[in-house]
Amino acid sequence: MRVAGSGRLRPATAEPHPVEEHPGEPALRIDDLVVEFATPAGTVRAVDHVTYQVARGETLAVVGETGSGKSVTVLAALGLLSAGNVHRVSGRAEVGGQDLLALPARERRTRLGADVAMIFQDPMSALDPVQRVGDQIAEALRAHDRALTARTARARVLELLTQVGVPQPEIRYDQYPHQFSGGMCQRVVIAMAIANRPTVLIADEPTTALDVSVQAQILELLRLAARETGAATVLITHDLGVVAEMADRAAVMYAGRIVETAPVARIFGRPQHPYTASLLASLPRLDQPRGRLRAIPGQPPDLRERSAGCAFAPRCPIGGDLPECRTERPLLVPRDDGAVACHHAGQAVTLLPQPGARPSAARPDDAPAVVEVAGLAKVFPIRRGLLARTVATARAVDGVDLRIGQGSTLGLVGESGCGKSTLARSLIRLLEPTAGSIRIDGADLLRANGRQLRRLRQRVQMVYQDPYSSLNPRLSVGDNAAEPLRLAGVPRTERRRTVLELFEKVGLRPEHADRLPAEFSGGQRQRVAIARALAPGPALVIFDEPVSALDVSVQAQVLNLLRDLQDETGVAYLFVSHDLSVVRQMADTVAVMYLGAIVETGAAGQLYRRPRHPYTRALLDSIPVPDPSVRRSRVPLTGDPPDPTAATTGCRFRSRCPLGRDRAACADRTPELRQVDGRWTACHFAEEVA
Amino acid sequence: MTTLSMAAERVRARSGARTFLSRYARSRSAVVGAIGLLVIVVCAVAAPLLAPYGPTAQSAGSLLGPSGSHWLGTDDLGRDILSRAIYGARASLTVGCGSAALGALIGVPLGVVAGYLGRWTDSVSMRFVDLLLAVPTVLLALVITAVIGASRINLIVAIGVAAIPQFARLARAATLSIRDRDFVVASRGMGATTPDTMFRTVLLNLLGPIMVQLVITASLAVVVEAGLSVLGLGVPPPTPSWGGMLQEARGYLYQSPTFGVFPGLCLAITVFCMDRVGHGLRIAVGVESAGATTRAAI
Repeated sequence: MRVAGSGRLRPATAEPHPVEEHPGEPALRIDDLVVEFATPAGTVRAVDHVTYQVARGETLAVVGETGSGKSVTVLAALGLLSAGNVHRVSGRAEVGGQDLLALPARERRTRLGADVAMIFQDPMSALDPVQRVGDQIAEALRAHDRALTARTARARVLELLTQVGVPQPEIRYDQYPHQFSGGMCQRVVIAMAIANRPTVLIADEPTTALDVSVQAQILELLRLAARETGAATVLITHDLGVVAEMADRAAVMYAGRIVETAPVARIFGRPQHPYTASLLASLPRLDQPRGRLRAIPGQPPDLRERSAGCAFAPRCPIGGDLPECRTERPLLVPRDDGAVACHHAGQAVTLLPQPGARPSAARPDDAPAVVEVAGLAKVFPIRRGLLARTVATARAVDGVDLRIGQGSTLGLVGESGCGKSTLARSLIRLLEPTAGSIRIDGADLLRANGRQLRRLRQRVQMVYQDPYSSLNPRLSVGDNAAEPLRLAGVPRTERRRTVLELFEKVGLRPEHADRLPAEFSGGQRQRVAIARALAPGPALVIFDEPVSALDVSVQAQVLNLLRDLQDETGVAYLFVSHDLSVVRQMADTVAVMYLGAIVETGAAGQLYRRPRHPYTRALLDSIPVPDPSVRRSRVPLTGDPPDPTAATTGCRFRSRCPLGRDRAACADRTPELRQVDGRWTACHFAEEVA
Repeated sequence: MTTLSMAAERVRARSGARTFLSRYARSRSAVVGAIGLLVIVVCAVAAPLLAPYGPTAQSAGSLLGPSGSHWLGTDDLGRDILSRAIYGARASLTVGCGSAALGALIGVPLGVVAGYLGRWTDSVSMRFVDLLLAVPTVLLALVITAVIGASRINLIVAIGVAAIPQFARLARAATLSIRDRDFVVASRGMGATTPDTMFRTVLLNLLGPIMVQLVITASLAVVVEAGLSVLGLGVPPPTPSWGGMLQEARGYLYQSPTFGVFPGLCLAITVFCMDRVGHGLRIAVGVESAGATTRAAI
């Protein structure tokens, strides 16, 4: 059942997603799987009696946070678990009725090669860097079908590349993975996955490493690939938006067990497990009014500490204090179209946010400016050759004006490589800007030196993306938080006092101040980093993707904390993120960056409601909404974020713009920011964007 | 698999000192090495209490065989071999540790500065290190002792200088690997001066690998010291040293085997113990897994 001709997979336009029946034998059945690891602290059960099955043509999403066992389940089932400390794998994993775990390794490999394909998170490392991309796919084909001649293999590969939307397949065939962008690599991986028409397709966080606009393209492609091959698809993800967009059924995992499974409409509409409901309530989302998030308290479970009761009980708003939840582990029992493992399954729906929540008021914009940036530019020379001569320049930031008022939050949004981090780092002079000016409290940061610079640096602090690397691992968390004070020359006892106060404020226990960062979870470490940033009493804190490394359930805690701290201290935030939902939750004003320049900026509410720049519009369209009832058929942005070294004339966004691709004005003149509909937009045809 | 490695990281981190020890203890030979080294250090420190005779005290006869009063016999000048060997641990250990420390004291800052600042600082200091590396250790030490004479301090200087490259390279590589980590960037962002970032933030995070290198270098230095002593460039007589004793015993191997064999055995055991301790530290610090064999450290 190949797609007619050699045309690429086309989106079946406007086809509603029917609730399909999936009769017959499941293509993949995992039955009572248990996986244990031996660790110095004892045996850890990473997967605890997990059972699920997927029929042909069906997509099952397995959702869970870090350590929930969602990936390990599949890896163990396929016999791919290679960690040296695997202690026990038991249960059954049937593909086409045959138990993989019972097969000898050799036969299992044959079986896997024929029936199962995997797509991993990082497409770059899934491809062999020293082999031509086309040959890698051909190899997959020929390993399966020895009779295939080199010529027919090549023809088939070209056909596959066309199908997955790789342009110019004849040229691309002979290129190497490093010549491909991340999105293109993932397309190649998908081509390889569907090459042998697998009956089971496993996608493990297939879009987590990609930009939003590319994610949308890849999700679309995955859907088409699954439909075209008719494979049973297991989609492993932490992103509920992706689940709602892609899956027929979902299984929610927590602490190595499935706590709830049901068709997606039921999962999102009437969640029965408190964890599922709490997760949904803690998501910042675009389709609901902004307000305080309902965070799940506490930390994701530590698998080494197994309790007799429900693993979620310590964090559960319903069963937290109930004796049966603390002492008796609930079993997964059928209920309401699915199955749920909870003693009080009926009550979970009450945890969902009620529509009509009071939106929090945006802060007034007329406060005096803390930071004013004018004409900021940062150009990186690209040196090549023996003499390291500058052969090109990358204009990472190209003429940016910004203003952040006291106590307000500016959200800076853009995809990777748009220059948002470079801009943020220039603001504390981690990078020396090439041109422009930065004023902090009216003083010129770029001219300041010595004592003055040190004073200004105290006024602007930064919180980094990865809490696992932004704290000095050899200093106690207290000393980490006290670093800016030490550098400012504050005496030790006073530092200590300030830090302990701050720990209280950010929700850490002061008596833990002498522990090393390694003893803390990601969310807690990010709290330490926040305490560190607030220690010198700054006027502005820059957050560079502060929650993107955190688990969903912890994100909401941190976002709420940041709002509270701002209300309390009146500090201004610059919130840099690729995640538009998170930025909407936090920001009063939003600036959208593309290729080093701001293309649209304005009050958050307005910008999200009625974007006027085609890029903003497309970004908003790209985000999967965690609501299966609004599933859209869409391919918002084509292509990859462009290369910042390429010199462009006219509008930067032209090459990907649905409006201006063929218009002369867009090619001739670079659009300046101009006021449209109450905000600033750099588009010649802003009025046409609906 | 990220989930697993992260869980493992958390496990590892639980309680600093205790996990360090439990990881170290995963290699049984490392534990044996540590105990052995401890015994040797105790011998060196408490030599006057342990040795039956003074190191230079001469008694009745020379080249006596093992007996009740002289367990290992006496040497050509009638000195008790056991006592000299116990005192000899002092020379080996002080020169070994001293030169390793000296090498680290110069090499580590050099490597950190080179790695952190990069550019011409890196080029210049690493060419200097290459230069040192191009000359064989023993030859370099030979030249230095030949020029400034043989004494314990001079030995430490000679071997220590030869040990600089190892430390400089190690520190530079480690600095390069953490230079762009967020916490180092954060330190700069908070307005820390460059020396502050280099010698507080960066250096603090190099202590693990440096510690390992210290032990390995010390064990090599013990061997070099013995070698130089055999060549007559070691600690000057009559102070006992194992290398010196080997040299003295050269002519009497048939008459009195214990004279030469015992100091050699001491040397071998010391170096073995140090090597095993280094191996254990590598595991504890996380450079190596318990199963792997130590790679040659030279």
